[in-house]
Amino acid sequence: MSVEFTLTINSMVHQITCDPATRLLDLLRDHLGLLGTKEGCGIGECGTCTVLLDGEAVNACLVPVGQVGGRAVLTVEGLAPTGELNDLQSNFLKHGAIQCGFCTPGMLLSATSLLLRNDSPSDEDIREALAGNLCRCTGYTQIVDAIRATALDRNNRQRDTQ
Amino acid sequence: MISQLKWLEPETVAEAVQMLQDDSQQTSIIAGGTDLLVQHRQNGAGDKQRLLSLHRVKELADISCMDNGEIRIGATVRIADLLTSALLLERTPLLTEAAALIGCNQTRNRATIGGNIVNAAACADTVPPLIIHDAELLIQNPLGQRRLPLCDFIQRPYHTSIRRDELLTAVCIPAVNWVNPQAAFRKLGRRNALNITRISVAVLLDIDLDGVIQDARLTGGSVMPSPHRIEVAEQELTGRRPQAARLRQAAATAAEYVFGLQSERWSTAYKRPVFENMVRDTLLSVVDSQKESAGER
Repeated sequence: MSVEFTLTINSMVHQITCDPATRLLDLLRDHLGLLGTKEGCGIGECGTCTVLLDGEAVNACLVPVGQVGGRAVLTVEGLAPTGELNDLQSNFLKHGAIQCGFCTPGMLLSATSLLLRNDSPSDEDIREALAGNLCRCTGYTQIVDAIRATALDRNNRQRDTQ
Repeated sequence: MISQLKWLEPETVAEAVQMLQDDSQQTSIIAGGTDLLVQHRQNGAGDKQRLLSLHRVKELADISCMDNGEIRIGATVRIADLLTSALLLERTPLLTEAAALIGCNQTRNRATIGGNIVNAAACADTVPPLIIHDAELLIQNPLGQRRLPLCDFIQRPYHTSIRRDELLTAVCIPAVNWVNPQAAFRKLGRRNALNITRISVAVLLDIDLDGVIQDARLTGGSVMPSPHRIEVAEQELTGRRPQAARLRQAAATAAEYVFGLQSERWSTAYKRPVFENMVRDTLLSVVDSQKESAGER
């Protein structure tokens, strides 16, 4: 069975026709070629397929697309629409928050969601926001550093412009 | 594969129940999908032929307070919504506390209270606080609505009394005239993040101005085949003063009762003393916070 619906992905409205029971993860990767979102466990435990749905972090492996018509999805591709890395991504590089890179898209989106609702997160807030994202390389410290630095940078920039 | 299932998306409870009435095809009801899609992926869809999604049924997504003070939480209210509800924080902080410990953001942003209850995993963390509050469920079926206590609904892990043509619509939390209720939820697992509960304890004590326990409520999670209040231990506390020795005795009684419900397992030698200590510590911490709160007034 197949249904038609609209879905905003990375600020672009898409007209989609597909089976409503398709996983959002498969729609992004297989139908739309957005390969930045990774599949890890497929059962909502590793967070590597994290995307934002109306600004909130969700595991794309556990979202049937039949439930997301009319809503807005942000994937890692949407963080750098022109190809130039955003401040959070640059800080991940600067702080060595990436080794194999497989968890990175999910980490970036969980961090993006955190910074949307909390512009001055404590380390505890950051760790809580990343609780659903597994990284087997970095030991998390560098990732927490990168997110803390991004929040600081943004606050400093905002103060400078005021 | 779930993609071979027929997809239904009713807009009202009435429409959903009508769809469920057609029992020629077995139906899975999906809300947040955080349990169902994992089960379908790991075990296949079994004999299911249809998926009925509740995402368009707006009437299931609200938290409201009735005229008599009863709180009604719609079945598709998400765990994340429980956390941000000022009404629940004021009236059922125990539920807020437990909800904060469920899964991670990604899970809490999708998972629903109704799903947590109907899936009926022994480790469902919304259940012990709801048991403490004597929560009741509203269930819609083709003949009308039935209402029953949560403690009568879950029969054993993953088994409830819901029928194929029924839909859980709301969780009702009755208003109680407590003087100074203090409650706590403690949970133990193998790690901190994404922690699946191995043992949990939920306690509520209402201690009056003379220092006498007027109401004692106690239950455990993941350790009882069908969740209910541990009345034998509650009775040892109600009408008494909360001395440490009495709290220790009540914890021992609770452990004896809970582990008498099931046959001995390999884990019992570990779980029984740990449960007893958790009950004792939770009772002690609730009494401490009650004293602080009474001191402030």
